[in-house]
Formats: sequence, C-alpha cells, structure tokens
Amino acid sequence: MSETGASSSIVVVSTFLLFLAVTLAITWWAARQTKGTRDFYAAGGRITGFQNGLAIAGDFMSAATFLGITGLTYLAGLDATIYILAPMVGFCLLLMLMVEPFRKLGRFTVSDVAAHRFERKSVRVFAALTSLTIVLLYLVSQMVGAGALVELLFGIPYSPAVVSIGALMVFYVSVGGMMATTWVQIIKAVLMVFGITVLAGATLQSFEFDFPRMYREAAEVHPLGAGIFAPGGLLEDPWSTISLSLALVFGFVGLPHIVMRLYTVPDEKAAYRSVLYASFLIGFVFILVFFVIGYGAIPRLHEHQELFGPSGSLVGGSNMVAVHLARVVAGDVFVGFIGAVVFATILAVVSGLTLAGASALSHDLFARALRDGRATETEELRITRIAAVALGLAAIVLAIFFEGQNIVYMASMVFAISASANFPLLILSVYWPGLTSAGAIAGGSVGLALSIALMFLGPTIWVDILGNTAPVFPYKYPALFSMPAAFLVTWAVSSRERSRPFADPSLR
Amino acid sequence: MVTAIFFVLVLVMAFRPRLLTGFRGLTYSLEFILLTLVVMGGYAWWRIAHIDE
Repeated sequence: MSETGASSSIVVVSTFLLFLAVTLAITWWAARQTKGTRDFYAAGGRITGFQNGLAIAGDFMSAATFLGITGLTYLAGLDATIYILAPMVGFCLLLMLMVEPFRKLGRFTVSDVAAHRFERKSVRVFAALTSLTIVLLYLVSQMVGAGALVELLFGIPYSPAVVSIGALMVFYVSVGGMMATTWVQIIKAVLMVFGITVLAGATLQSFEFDFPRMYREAAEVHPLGAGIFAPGGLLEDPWSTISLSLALVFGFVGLPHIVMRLYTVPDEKAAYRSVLYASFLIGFVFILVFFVIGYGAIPRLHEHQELFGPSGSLVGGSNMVAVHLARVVAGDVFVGFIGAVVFATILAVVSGLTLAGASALSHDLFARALRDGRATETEELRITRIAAVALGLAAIVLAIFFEGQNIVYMASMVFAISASANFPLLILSVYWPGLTSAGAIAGGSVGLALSIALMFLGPTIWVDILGNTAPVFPYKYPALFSMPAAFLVTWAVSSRERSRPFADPSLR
Repeated sequence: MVTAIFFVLVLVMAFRPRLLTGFRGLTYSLEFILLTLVVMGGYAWWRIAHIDE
C-alpha cells in the first residue's frame, strides 16, 4: 500500500471510529433521558430551533444529495438544477403552509394531522400505511445505495455492509429514540457541511478562484460542450420535467421523517426557526455542490484518464465523481474524511426514516387505531422498539434483494407517492372544510395506486427492468397524472358524501 | 410566488429551453435559490414576530 493510501485508510478508520464512539455515547446518554413516548418520538420537545435546523438538514441531505447531484451535474449539467431548486420550493411550502397547522394539530406523526378532524380510525390507518410505504421504499433505496457506496469506499462486500448499517440504525433508534437520532443527524450535518465547503474551496483553488475559467474549461472537455449550461441533458421530454418537478416539490411536504422533526422543538417559533436554518444550510450546500463541485469536476477529472475504464466511463460510476474529485484536488487523506462523512450521512438518514416508520406502526396503528388511545406509554414504547427492529430487518432483506437497482428512480418513486397520496390528504385536511373521511381515503388510495401503477408500467420498470419492448405508460414520472387524479377523486367523493341527506356525521 | 416562479422556470426548461442557453440557466438558478431564501427569511421573521398576537 502506498504512503498516501495508508494515510487515507487511517483517516477513514479513525474518523469513522470517532463518529461511532461519539454517537454510541450519545445513544447511551439519550436512552437515560428517554422516559415516555414524547421523549422517544419527539425528544421531549427539548431540541432548540438551531439544533433542529441542523438535524432537519442532516435528515434531508442524503448521500444521494451530495454524491448523486454532483454526479448528475457532471453528466448532464443544467438539468440537475431541478434536484436542487425543487426541494428549496418544498421547504418554502413547508414553512408557509404547514408549520403552523402541523404544530397546532399534530403530536408526533403525519397521521396525527391527516386524521385530526375525523372520528373514524380509517383515515389514520390509511395515512399510517401510506407513511409506512414511503418510509420503507425510501429506506430500501438508501440502503441499496449505502451498500454499494460502502463496498466501493471501504471494500466491505455489499451484504455485510447492508447488515452493519441496518444493525447500527436499529440500535440508535430503538435505544436512543429521537434524541439519539437528532444528535446523529446534527453531527453528520456539521461534518458534511465542513467536508463540502473544503472540497468546494479546494476545487476553486485549483482554478485559482477563476469562475469563468472553470466553466469555460468544463464546456471545452464535456461531450455536450456548451450544452451543459442548457436544459435537455437529462430529461428528454417536457412532461417528464414537469412531472418530476411536481413530485419533488409537493412530495417533500409529505415526507414523514421531515414532518416528525417539527415536534421536537418546544414551540411554534422554534419550528419556524428550524425550517429556516435548515433551508439556509441546504441552500448553501446545494450552491456549492451544483455550481462549484459538479461543474469543477468536469475538467479536473478529465485530466486524469486513469479514473476512466476501458469503455470511457468513470470508475465506480457517476456517484463517485465527488470522491474522485476529492482525491484529485485535496489528496488521499481528504478522501478518507469524505468516506467517513458519507458513512455518517447514510446512518443519519436511515435512522430518521426508521424512527418515522416505527412511530407510524406503534403510535398510529397500535396505540391509536388498534388500542383506541388506551395503550400505556410502556406498551407503546415496547411496540416502537419491536417495530424498529422489524423495519430494520425488512429493510436489510429488501436491500439485499434489490441490490443493483436504480436508486435515483426508487427515491423519485418515494417523492411521487408522497406527492400523490400524502400531500393531497394533508393539505386538504388542513385547508378544506369540505373534506370527508371517505373522500380522503378514496383520493389518497387513487393517488397511491396510480403513482405505483404508472411507474410500474413506465419505461424504467416495464422496459428496462422487466425487458418488455414498449412501455404501457410512456412517461418516467407519474406525479403529473396521479396527483391531480388524487385531488379530483377526493373532491368528487367528499362532495357526494356531503350531498347525501342522511350521511353519517362521523363521515364529515 | 416562489412556487409560481419555480414552475415558470420548469415550463421554460421543458418547452423553451433555448431561453436558458449561455449562462442564463445557471444565473437564473442561483438567483432563484437566493430569492427563495430571502422570501423565506422575510416570512419567518414576520411570522415569528406576530405569533403571540
């Protein structure tokens, strides 16, 4: 092993062990603080606005955000901008439309808000099942990506990597609850922002801080030429562009693990502050990742032909652009640090997702629906821990089964489902007095079923994975069709219910 | 307003991509992120100031 390679390995192992030691100590401390359900699901509401802002940023910025957006910018240029602008709009909608009702109407989960007006349990059960679908699909996509990344970065085989990540996330969640998860996310956010800032600085330094030179050199060596500054590099048809944008914007608002974070702060003011801090932090990271790291990588990696395989593609694929760039502009030791940051990132995101899924199972389905709110806190906490273990096992098995699948597409499925099933239910239950429980369930079911069916019948699954010659549904992303359908059915069924003279009042 | 501007930008990307050639696409993207943050900052500041009223 070369001297720099050995230094890199030492940095990876020492940073990783330090992260592990700190987070395990925090988990032990958090477990001692956790006495009841409010402590477990919402850290007792004791997180400050700034801490929660960091944690939201840590929860949202996955490895796909950093490595995926860098890779997309490197490959396709301007089209990657949709992946950074849409979440910013999502944060804006969350701040303006949802923070206040979520704080006033909810307690721990998305389903609390969706079901607050209805006596019947069916809306809560439906919202919990939708949240579980979203969480499980997102968890599996993160684990599949994590397994592949850990294999590439650390040389650990895929299956043991997935099992290790799954075991750690279950430990953090089941032992330390929201308090431990929050601090894992805060530490990860700080590490990630530091790593990305240093990488962007080193990239700019390699161009002597001359932005025009960086963009000019990028256009000179990229196969698309000046096309990397224009739309069309990634999204081939206009309807896909619109559909993906809808899913990313409105799907974000319904993500259960993000919504859940709004309950960890003591009051509404702190909730507003936390969304604002998260937005500024994520905006800063997006600007560096898209405008500096993604474009700067094009000329810098082009100078190192040893990074490309015989077919001309980058070693490790486009997800490794940021890692290769770190080696080229900042050396092997910094690559070690970035590797450890990626691992911390994966753990933080999957822990947040597992907690959201476990709370949907224990709080919504067990305590509120099955036991009608009569379960004791001890019972509910026991079920949460069992649910976290079950969810972790399911995610591990599914991630091993789905090895090699397109994780960007799996993640976009999550956003499409959230935009088509969760978002209409949430926004209408808060802002439309005419919504009935039958309308909510009918509309949500149509959104859920249609988004899944159209993705299944579209080009990515029906043709690329299943090998059929032509797709039944011609577009890659369904939200443009499934989201309006969900709203339409909700309105139609609710209007019909309200017009019936002897309608059951509990349906209202 | 931010959402409307975003979808106008998306529609331009989808149907009139030539309007975003050169450095216009990059410039608009950066301006949009900054605008969003300013709007969010202003809204949050106003909202927090009026919460107790």
